Amino acid sequence: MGIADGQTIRMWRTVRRILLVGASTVLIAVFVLWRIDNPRVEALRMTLIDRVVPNIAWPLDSVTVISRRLQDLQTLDELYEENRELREELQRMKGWREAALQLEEKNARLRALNNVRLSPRVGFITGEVIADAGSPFRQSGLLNVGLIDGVQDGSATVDGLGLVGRVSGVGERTSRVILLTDVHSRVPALLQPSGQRALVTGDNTNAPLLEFLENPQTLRPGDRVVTSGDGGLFPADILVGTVAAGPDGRLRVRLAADYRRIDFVRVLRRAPGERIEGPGALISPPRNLETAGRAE
Amino acid sequence: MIPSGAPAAFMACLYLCAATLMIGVPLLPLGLSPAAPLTPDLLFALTVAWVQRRPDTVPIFLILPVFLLADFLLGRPPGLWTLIILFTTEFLRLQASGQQDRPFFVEWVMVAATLAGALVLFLLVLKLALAPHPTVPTLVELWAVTVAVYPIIVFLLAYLLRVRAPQTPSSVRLGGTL
Repeated sequence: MGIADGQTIRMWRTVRRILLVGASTVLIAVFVLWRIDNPRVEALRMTLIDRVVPNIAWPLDSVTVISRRLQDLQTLDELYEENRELREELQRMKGWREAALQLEEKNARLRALNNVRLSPRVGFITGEVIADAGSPFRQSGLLNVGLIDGVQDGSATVDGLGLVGRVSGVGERTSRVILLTDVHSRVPALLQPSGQRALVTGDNTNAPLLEFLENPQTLRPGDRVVTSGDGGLFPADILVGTVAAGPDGRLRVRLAADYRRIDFVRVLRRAPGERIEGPGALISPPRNLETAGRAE
Repeated sequence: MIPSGAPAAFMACLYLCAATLMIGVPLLPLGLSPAAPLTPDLLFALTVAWVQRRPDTVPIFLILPVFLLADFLLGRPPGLWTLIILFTTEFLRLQASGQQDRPFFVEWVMVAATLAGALVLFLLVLKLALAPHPTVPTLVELWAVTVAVYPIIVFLLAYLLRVRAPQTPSSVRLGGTL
């Protein structure tokens, strides 16, 4: 321990301080940039996730599989009871299925009679959920399909039953889905049978809120909530869930999609719909030669 | 400072591996529904525990990229939490140096207080920047689970990875090292 030692220590301290100040400046700059030019930084984030997450996800994959198995084991003892209930339900459903088939046939015949043209069917691609949002403040998932699979920003995603969320951020091979439960999720919806329009607004709980209702009095718990297709982002008539009154008295949506077990989801491909540009031109009365001649 | 056990470079590699794991755990697609239990901030617990044991093996230029990557991957506003962590670790480094034999309970309380301060700062800056910010109950919950998980992380570090404070002989400590 001499003077030289003391000097090195002091020098190291200075270097540390410079390093700390430099790092802080860079970090503040990154944060400010995120605040100012959010889309670009979020695109950078998506690129980074696209590169990194599939590479660190594979060792974690086994963990996911094992814990899912354990969950399955837990449910094993409930299985017998559930099986019996399901059989009963199946009996009832068979009746419904018959009715639905007959109705569908009848519908098709009536449509043929009336010359109705249906909008083209929506194509989809199925992806697996490979990662969670990773943050307790966000409700989203990462899918293993991306740009090269034809996923577009804003596409709707559904599971077997109902709407799951909206694609927000697409990478080369991955894409992020904002779930309906996220606080940033807003989906225009139509309530059947009352025909009212509303906004399904996520608030970080299991059941999103129904907002901007015209008259909530006409609603009944159990009314169906489907997407309205307003705004042109989602196709119309995708099932979202059913209306339910929350414990706080506000109207909420009980989601049709099973959020506890989202392993695979379908990303709907938006059909490139034709656009109608501007209003039509003025339609003049038909001019024929006779009237033209008389005017002159 | 007298290095104990493995060399610093090896320990740094070990830290990087553990940190990658801690980033990966919250990414596990297990609880997609909001009712799923909150994942504690494992990376924070790991880093803070490590910094107080082997401060020489986790320098700033190692913490910075790890946390910046975590910010990007875990959907946080990039840069802010990293910045707060830098100051937190510097503070804890200074606190821990020279008192290797303090009881664990004291360290635990220290970490809990620091995390509370860090989260308050995080929330405050986000509010001032008018950025979307988490709610206070979620932050309190996050604080609670992270503080609860801290002893487990410390235990794992000490007995699985052998990350312990260097045992300085008292004569050397009296001699006044760094």
